Amino acid sequence: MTNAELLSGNEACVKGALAAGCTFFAGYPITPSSEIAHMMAYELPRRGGIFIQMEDEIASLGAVIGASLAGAKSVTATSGPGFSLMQEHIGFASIAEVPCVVISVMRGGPSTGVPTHPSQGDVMQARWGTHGDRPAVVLAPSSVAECFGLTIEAFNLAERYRTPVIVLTDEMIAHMREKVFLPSSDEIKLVERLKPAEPPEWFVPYRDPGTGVPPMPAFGEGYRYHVTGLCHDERGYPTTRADEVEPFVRRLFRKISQDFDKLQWSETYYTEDSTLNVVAFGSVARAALRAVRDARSKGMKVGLLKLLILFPFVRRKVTQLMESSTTILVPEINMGQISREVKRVNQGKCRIETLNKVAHEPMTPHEILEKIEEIYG
Amino acid sequence: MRYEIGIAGSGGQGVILMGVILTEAVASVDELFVALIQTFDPAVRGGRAASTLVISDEEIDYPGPLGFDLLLGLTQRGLDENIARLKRGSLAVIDAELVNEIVWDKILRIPFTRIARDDIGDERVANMTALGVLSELCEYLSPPAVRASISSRFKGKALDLNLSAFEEGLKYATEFRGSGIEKVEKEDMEI
Repeated sequence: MTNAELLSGNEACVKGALAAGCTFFAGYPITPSSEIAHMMAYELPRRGGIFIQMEDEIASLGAVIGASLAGAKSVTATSGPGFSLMQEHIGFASIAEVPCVVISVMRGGPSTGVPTHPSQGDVMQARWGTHGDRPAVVLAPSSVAECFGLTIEAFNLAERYRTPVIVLTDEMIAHMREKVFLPSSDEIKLVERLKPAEPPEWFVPYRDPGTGVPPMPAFGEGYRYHVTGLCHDERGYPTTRADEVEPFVRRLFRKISQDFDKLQWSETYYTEDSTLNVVAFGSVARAALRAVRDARSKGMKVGLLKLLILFPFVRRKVTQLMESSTTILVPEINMGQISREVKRVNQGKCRIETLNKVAHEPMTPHEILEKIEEIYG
Repeated sequence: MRYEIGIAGSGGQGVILMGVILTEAVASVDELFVALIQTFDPAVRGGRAASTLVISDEEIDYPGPLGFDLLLGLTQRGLDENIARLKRGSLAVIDAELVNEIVWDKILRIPFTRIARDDIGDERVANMTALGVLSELCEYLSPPAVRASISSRFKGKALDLNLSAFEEGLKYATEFRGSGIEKVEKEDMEI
């Protein structure tokens, strides 16, 4: 066990980003994400990378987008109030198709709320926070080890799809320290953005090569193109022509939706014979696993589906689980955000129960077990 | 096996640091898993602060507290808010100077703050004295590992100061062990 390490969730996010090849961080510190900025400020310069503390969160993501256009794998980290400010540029990164990663550590809200306590109140902000129609990719670790692994995957997805990817953790996971066993660098698979094969003079920056993801040169490599938040044609120039805008926006969706099959990231526990199943993510999934084990020891047929990706929603996995369930229980430390997604895909297959807590305290196994017992009767 | 330690006090007492040091010490043991949850109010001093350690020989499902096997109360408020989580028959260790009221049947009162102030000469290292006591009382904590963890965090005079406070705590706990905790309990039974 030579690679055992004691890390907090925030530290694991930094280690994951560095393992993914991240060389640029711009951010504005905010509890409970500040340790990420802190550690990046220490680690990046000594690896030849760049750390910038910006004047605010809007500028932070702006700098991250700029760095990514120049070829660097880039990341920022924030929490609720700062995440709201970043929404503008998340939309920009989506339409200009700039790979980048935003780590948002959820704390109690709205507004400044309860800075030092966990919440899951920003799930729908991560999905719909920016204006305009665009697909969202949101990952949700529930342990320190997953903070490491999913941050790497966030970079991989950002590079593969040329899109912003959000890693949504919460205060409990972020500040929690756990003993973890990290994989060595040769065990980690990395994805790099596709570069154009043609010479600069033949380059058409936003032409769909068939995969929905146009190759992306770095600025400074000789390829010139125009980057804009306006809907653009294949050359990158603004357009309002319906026959150009429609396929463009549809391509933004298609490049991700074509891979829905591959993106059903989740884990199941005890679902072989369960009729009551819990669907949970983040820190609540930890309490849920314990509650499910306690319920099992009392003879109840209960299972757990832990979501590792929130968006695109793991519709297929949840639907599959519904086939064998009479009831699905969705515990969350918000007033019901992922439960809406579960209800959306349900279509009358089974009963959906929710368990909500907004004291900005962690959900306890006891609370989930009580609800399980109530449902089980 | 699941063993939980709760440390409850207020901001400025070094409660979070204690948690980190103990967690490091446990993590250094190959066959043990450990998780640490820290809770604190936004105020740097005076607000609530608590560390919860979960030690296990298998991967930890829920990292939060289910029931403490050992509780250290460094303030009255911290103790009051956490005593309900202490498992029946488990030991409550309290700072004799800062905690006055306790209803429990197994109590160890040690004047950490007084020891640090009078014997070591600096009240700030009361938390290290408490670490010394915990290291002796909990079977999953080894004094050398805790000592190593402390040593990796301080340098020079600060290290000497912190280590001497730690050793003083160890000595205290060893003496109590020798005299038998049973005896201490009886005397301390009060409503």
